[in-house]
Amino acid sequence: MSPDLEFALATREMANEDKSLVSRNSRSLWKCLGAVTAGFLILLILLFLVLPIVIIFPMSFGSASYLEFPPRGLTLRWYGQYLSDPDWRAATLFSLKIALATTLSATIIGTLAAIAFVRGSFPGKGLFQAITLSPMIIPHIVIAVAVFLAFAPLNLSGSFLGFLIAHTMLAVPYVVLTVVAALQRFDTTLELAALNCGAGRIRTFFSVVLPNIRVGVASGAVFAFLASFDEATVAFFLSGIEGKTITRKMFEDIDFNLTPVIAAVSVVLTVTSLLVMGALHVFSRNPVPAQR
Amino acid sequence: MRRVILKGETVTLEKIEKNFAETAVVRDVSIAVQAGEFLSLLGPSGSGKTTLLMMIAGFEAPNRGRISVGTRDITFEAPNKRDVGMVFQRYALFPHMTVAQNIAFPLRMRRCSRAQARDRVDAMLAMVRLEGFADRLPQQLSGGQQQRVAVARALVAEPPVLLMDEPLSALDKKLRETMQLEIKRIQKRLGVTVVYVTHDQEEALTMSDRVAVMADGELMQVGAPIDLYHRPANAFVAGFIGKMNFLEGEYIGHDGGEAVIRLSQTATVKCPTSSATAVVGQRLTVAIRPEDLSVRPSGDVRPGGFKGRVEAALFVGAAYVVLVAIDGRAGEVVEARLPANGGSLPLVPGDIVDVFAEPSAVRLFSHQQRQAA
Amino acid sequence: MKKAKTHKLPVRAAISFTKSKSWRHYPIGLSLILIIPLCLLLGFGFVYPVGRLLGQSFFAPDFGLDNYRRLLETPLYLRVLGRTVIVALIVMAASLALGYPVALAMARLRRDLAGVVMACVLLPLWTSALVRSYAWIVILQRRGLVNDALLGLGVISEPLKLIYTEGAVILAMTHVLVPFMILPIFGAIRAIPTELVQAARNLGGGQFTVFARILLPLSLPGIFAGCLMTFILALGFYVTPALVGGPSSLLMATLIGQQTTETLDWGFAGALSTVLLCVTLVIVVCFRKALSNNRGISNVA
Ligand SMILES: Nc1ncnc2c1ncn2[C@@H]1O[C@H](COP(=O)(O)OP(=O)(O)O)[C@@H](O)[C@H]1O
Ligand SMILES: [Mg+2]
Repeated sequence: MSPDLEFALATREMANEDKSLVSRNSRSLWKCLGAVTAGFLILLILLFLVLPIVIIFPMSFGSASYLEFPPRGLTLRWYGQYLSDPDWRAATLFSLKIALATTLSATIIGTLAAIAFVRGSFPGKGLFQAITLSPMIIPHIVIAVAVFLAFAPLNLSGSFLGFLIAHTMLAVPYVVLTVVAALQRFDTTLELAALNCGAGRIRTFFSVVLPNIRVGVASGAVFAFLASFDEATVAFFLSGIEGKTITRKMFEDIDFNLTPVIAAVSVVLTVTSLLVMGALHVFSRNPVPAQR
Repeated sequence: MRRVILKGETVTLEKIEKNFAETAVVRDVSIAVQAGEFLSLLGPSGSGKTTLLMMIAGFEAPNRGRISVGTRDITFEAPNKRDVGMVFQRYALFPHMTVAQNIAFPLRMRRCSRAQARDRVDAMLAMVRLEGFADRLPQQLSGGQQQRVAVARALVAEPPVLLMDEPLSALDKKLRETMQLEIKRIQKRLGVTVVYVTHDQEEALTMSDRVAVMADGELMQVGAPIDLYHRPANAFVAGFIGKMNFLEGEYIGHDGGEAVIRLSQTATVKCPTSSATAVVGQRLTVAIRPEDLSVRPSGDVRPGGFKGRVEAALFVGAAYVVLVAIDGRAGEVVEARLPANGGSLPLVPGDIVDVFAEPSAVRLFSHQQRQAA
Repeated sequence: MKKAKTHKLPVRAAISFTKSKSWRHYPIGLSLILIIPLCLLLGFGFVYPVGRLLGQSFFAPDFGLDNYRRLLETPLYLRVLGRTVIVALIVMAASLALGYPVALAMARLRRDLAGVVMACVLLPLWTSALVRSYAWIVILQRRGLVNDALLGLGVISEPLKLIYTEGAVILAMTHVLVPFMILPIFGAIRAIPTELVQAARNLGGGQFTVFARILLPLSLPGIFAGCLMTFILALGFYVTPALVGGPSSLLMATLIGQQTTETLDWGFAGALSTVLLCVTLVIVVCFRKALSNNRGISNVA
């Protein structure tokens, strides 16, 4: 699902350059009408994109026990129920735990691999890269069913470790892509300069390479977090009675009892995603990291 | 603040060879750089200068040969263990570190104490005249300032050898000249051995104790600037350093103590026999510097001189440059450089003139050599 | 030649292994150490499970091609396969129709406006597909927003059956996948030099001419990449059809899910997965070039 990354690159470019395409003042009435129609059309499409997500917010604060829009009164009841329900709490914590661990492992594994892909040479590199990226393209249902089939006999289904492995595998391609892009932008003479200054390979990596690719690594980490936290397909199949992610719990509740609590949970998920992406945005804007 | 004092060491390259996938990029290069010497590697782009420097720095390993600093064989030593400072072409300053942090980096790698490091960094900053810039980031500095930081970083750990790869090529002419003096001053003061890569012959001649001329991966000649200029070992060096007229000719025999080379039916030049070990009839290349030619209004042709017609006479400030078409050689022009001496030149295009070259200033090269160059 | 000292740890030895001719690249030993974790992860977490699932199709319950025969001989399953492809095509076309104008606007508008449009595209992209499918249930269900509104306006007297239909699946899936169409097209249009468009205008090209002769042809790589991306994702999408679709709108992904959660027929699930996987891979391999125009992937592959 590379458009995420595509976007990350595109916005960075946008931030860098400052060419604004000012649409020319259109003189004739026809042009004016055309512009208004086009603008209206685009507005409609944007509403189609945004509204379904936006309406969940007022809904999660609605007072009626069935879903209604617009809500008649406002309440935090559904958030209260979400927080007090031990099932939801357990699922949320389980998901958070998995997502954080996945972020860590995918970032480390993906960064190491990206270095090997960009700077190293070994036989079968091309094939290996293709396999690394394939979880982004292969239908997640196939992966989910396969992982369940393979992990169940090993008692890994519904377990933290099982999720960690599966989600790391799903998240690693994002890290590899962002870090590879960052490494390709990195000037390798800096590395030679560090070696020349007396730093070994490892010191060079931590003192010179890593600080300069940190935005790529951070983007990869954020994408990895979301790839795990928002992931529903593998979670649906791999969850057990005990180990249940927030997405699996939501899946079940949507199917069986569609209460406004789900709206509240949806808001929590969405806000989490937006916060994490916002944090990344702030981080990438900061040109220089604090030193020493 | 303590003074920075360094002592240079010798750098010895023995029969160095380097191939990149079957192509020989450096071929059988041997150079012995003296301790404290400023040696330039000079050659056209692609001649293997950078590759040679990379091997001294340790980023590439030679396929054959030996590199040593002092008595230490460093041929296969890891680059971070070599203790050889390097200034890169585009400075290669760490963009995420301040000037002070950049300069302190080699000290940190050597586990120098904080206080000591601070003193050394201050001393280096003073040496490169950047006292007020310690807390700037590299991208907040001009090109020349970045260059100074790079020099300071390369020297802060007091390496006996400093390598520089076309360090001034990104700067404009004026700044380049200032920096040349600056680098010389620092090198003189520290006594560090410098191996300096450049493709700018003027830069090499003005800065170096000795210059090593490279072409196509091979070492052409090593020598003091004045030797390269006046006693080039081959036609390539002769042509690469300073201006040079090359003329095809035929060896026709002796005249007294001098060899006579025929350029055309009517034109000959003479040169000392010592530089001609040819048989009669052999084709040779004659090389004469523009300032070694004298041009006079036509009279009797002295032996060893030839007639020509002035094509152009240009005033270039310190001298006149006169282009003369040689009598009997269609389309071929020699360039002469005559001192201006305040007077105006009594020559205009179309004048028939006598061109004369002092035999001692004429050099002969074999035909093949010229082709190779 | 200096040898790596034997008392060093293997990792350190590989790192200081100086036999490699150049320090610009990492030696093979170090490269391998760097990818060992990924190797283990992919081997155990991806290659082995997927291989095992595919193997099931030939071995469960008995060795042979029975599972595939069953797939080919049952009209229901063939219909599901056909429906999956058609739904994916419709979703792709709908995404293109909705996505192209937005991408064009985003690339050609003033910066502040373009930023707003970009935010509208990214909001859904950063929202879980689960949440978005849920939103569509809320909108389309029997007492959902659409039915409420229509009933309130008196347009209809009975709630319409909107949810659990093929139409609902297409609508929701399009909503989920449009951003994957918009971003590559946006990238392609942005890459078109402004001077080119201005030159065309100066030469007297009208809005439409400029669009048809310059913008459209030059954004084709983006369109291609976006179409490929949405089509592939639509083929294998599970969450949305599972929640918004019904029995009448069974797709390959939901059928596979059904085989594993309800009938527990692993052999047949394996066969279905193999077919889905092969279709996806064939498309990817055939149109690899289009995908590599999509910068994100071209960086590595
Ligand atoms: N890493 C490399 N791989 C292959 N060829 C190279 C490499 N580095 C340099 N070369 C080749 O070696 C020759 C010499 O290059 P270089 O040492 O950079 O020359 P110079 O610094 O004198 O311009 C050039 O022809 C160049 O193309
Ligand atoms: Mg060079």
